[in-house]
Amino acid sequence: MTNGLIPIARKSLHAHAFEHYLRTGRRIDLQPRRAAIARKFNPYHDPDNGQFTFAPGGRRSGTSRRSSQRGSDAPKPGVSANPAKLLLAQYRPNPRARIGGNRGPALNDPMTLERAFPGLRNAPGSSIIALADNALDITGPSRRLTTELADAEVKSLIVQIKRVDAQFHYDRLGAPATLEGQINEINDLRMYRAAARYNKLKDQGPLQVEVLRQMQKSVDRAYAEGVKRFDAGLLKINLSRDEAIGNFIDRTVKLEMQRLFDRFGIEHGTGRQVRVGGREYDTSGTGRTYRIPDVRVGKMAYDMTTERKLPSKPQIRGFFRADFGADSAVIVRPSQLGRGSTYAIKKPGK
Amino acid sequence: MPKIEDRKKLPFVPKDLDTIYDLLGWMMLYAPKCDPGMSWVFEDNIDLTFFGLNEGLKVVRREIGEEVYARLAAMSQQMRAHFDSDPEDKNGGCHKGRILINQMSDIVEDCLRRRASRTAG
Repeated sequence: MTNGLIPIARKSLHAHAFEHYLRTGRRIDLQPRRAAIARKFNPYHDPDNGQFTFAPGGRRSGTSRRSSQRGSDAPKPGVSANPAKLLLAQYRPNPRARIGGNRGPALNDPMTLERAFPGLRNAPGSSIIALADNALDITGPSRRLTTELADAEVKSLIVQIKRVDAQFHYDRLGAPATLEGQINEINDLRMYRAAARYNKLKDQGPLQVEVLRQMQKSVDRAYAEGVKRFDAGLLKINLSRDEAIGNFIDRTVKLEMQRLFDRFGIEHGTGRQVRVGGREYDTSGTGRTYRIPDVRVGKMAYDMTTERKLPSKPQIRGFFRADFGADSAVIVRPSQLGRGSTYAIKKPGK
Repeated sequence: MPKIEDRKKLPFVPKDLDTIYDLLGWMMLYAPKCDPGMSWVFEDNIDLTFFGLNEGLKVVRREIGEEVYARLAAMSQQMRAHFDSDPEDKNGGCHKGRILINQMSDIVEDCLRRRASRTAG
């Protein structure tokens, strides 16, 4: 037989079957009627190449399946094993995923800014400390959040909130279907926990972290939209593109932070520990001066900006000289500007 | 503290001129839908946003004076009509609405400057 160009060698059925066996390790049944006859079947094979292998669970099998599939549990002839459950021989589970007990790894949940900015507590004055990788990110680099993990985190957060606020009641309609929904739910509960701890125990630590988380989210979103509006010629320019976009981010995020505090019953304004865009006076000198941090929670000042601000900047020095006694200033910049965009500045001389 | 799952919360109403100025900036970024999708904790939509803006203008009515209030209220109404006419930001109505946001922001900024000069004086 030819295909018009190259003659194709005619092979016997046996030669074809042998060639198939060499390639795949599987025998072709040359006599289909024999299929009806009972015979021994070995279900254990490498899912990659179909070749015979050891029973799963054995020392040399390299798979995670237990030997419970032996005997009566073994797949019946003609019924394919579920390929989704088969693992490659060289598969090893991520060792980090085993951390955190039976429910899996603990999610990032810093309760103080010192944990979000490692080294902040003991850093020398005027140091710039970068935000830890994934400090505000629930899923981490591997996006390992699963519904089960999210459920466990939600339950744990509810228990933690109830410890502080016995009246807390949370009617859950069910787990959110999407990853984003799960993240939102966890973030909202964390914010609620922070608000409860602040209102009931006067604990500012978790609130400082959650304020940073919410600000970062608002800044990133506002920056993305701000760039679009700028390109459409809708933002007023006084000095530069960055300044124009920065002004709109400022307005947007300040509004969102006010709404956030209102929503969670956190009192803010003049004379409070939480302030949005309030004047912070410095009465230490001869004349009274002031600076306006975008947000302040206790002794932590937050400033959102698109430019990189250094400790030597008069505005930053002004925060540290103000009467509220800032420990640190957190500079929140859009994540789109790259790694290390958000950082903390330690008070000089501390 | 309100219940976390309670979505029937009061809409946000600015209490001063600074916050109205910030709200206009927020609207510039998120109009015409006025829903940045921040979280289910916030219920955002165009009705709640304009309700907040109009109520906020009433709060500062005495401070800014009747004439300025009337101008801002009329511009707010016009802006709403533009956004309603172009909910998908396609036919140019939304662009006109955003230009009105800038004009309103300028007026509010003038009021803030006047207030600052009064306070300084």
